[in-house]
Amino acid sequence: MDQSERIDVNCLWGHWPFRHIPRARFADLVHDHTACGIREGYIASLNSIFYVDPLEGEAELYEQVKGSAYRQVLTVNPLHQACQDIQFGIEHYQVAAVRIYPGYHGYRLLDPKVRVLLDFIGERSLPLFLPLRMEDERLDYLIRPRPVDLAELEGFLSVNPTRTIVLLNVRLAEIERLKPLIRTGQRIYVDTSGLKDQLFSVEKAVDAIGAGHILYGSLSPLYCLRSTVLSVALSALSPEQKQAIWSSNAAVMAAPKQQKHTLDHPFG
Amino acid sequence: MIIDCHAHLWDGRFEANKQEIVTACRRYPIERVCVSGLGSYEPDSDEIERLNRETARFMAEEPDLIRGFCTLNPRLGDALAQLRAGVEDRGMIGVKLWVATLCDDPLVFPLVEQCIRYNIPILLHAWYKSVGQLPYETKAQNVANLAARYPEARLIMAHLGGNCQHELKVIAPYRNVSSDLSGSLFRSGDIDCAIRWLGSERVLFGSDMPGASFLISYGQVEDAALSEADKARIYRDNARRIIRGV
Repeated sequence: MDQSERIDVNCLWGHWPFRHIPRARFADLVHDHTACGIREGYIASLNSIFYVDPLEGEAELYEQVKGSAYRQVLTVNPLHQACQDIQFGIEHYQVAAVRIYPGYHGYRLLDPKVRVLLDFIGERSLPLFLPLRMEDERLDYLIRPRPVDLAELEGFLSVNPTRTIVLLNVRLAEIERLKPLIRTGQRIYVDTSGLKDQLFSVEKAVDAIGAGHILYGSLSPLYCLRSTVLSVALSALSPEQKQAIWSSNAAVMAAPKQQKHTLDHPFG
Repeated sequence: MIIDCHAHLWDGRFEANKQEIVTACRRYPIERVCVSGLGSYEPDSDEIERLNRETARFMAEEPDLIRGFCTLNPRLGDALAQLRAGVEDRGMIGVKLWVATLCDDPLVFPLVEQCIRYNIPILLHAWYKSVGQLPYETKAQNVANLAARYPEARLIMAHLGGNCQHELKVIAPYRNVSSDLSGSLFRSGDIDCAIRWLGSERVLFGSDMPGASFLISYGQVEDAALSEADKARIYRDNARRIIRGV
């Protein structure tokens, strides 16, 4: 294993209502991450997706991760008191990013309340994490979240080119379609958890949008951690490109915007 | 080293697919790949001939790496002749059935009977979907029906049936059915589920490359809490037992 610093920007804790998840404790995640050379993570609560008050899920998550190297990603519903929740999360949980689920919570990305949310987190230098899906749509059970509408996403990205937005679980075909907007965006990223539909998917994503727009994210423990780890580790990318994906880009993503020019990576 | 029992050449992309598969074999720990051709959902005889010809050509180009499965459309009047050509003339060691018919359609029966005589396995695409189910897309119940009718047939249900928590228990009672983990899913717990219902002797490694990443399937097995003996079964021993000549 190379000794690159590794950060998982898309890891989870909590209960997934639709199937048994093995090794779902926070201690299991830390153990498995460590075995794969991952020392830090951006962790979100699965429970917060489904709770009426997502802050209840955030309180549970905080009890797990406080004092660890994991940064809490606050799940909010822009239709209901999101800014208030974020302020609470900043003050009580030191949240490092905000995560939204338009497909589960029933709104459009161009809803004015999402704009309010974006302004609020932008003033506080918090990135927006946007999962395009959690499970493969073919396996949805009981709940069928509204699938991502790529035209809507294109509109969303085109009016927010300077915001820090991380698209999670994006497939290669979707990256191909979105690549002009991703490349144009100063701080628009995708994670690796959706790069699975072809051989050499990570390399192809780098060809499409450059290594500077890709973050390592596993969607673990919902998905197999080593699948995404191996996809980067055994890729034919240069050590510099791998390093950018493992952690350098995450450092840029987390930095306030004015520091971008000092941290920006030259790989893409 | 790994025997990948499920990979494809796609119609119109033969050379690019071959190149990618060979590159993957050089880059990853792959010993052998079982390849079949795929194209349209209901291929005609010309397309079937083209798919199998290109697969045979790949076998000849890479004799140490590639083994061929014969793609068939049971609706075609010459399906049995295509099977004979694939096995007897081209040296293919299995059959691939996709979505032209359900696998328990009577049109399939003569092909299964011939495969039993040849002593070769049949790789059955199977997917239980909550959205996008194709009209003739096999599910585990279809596989179970076929397995019950032909207990001497060797059947491989692909993709762990798609939704393994839903599908594997359906085929579990039929010892002549194994399943491969190929495809673009890499959910944690799926391998555990497969071992629970089938045992490690009935799970085969597959990737579905080049249309899926080999590495996500590899990572699934590496992630699972398996003994080295169980991993060896999944990676190669089961394939050697079930796919003669691999």
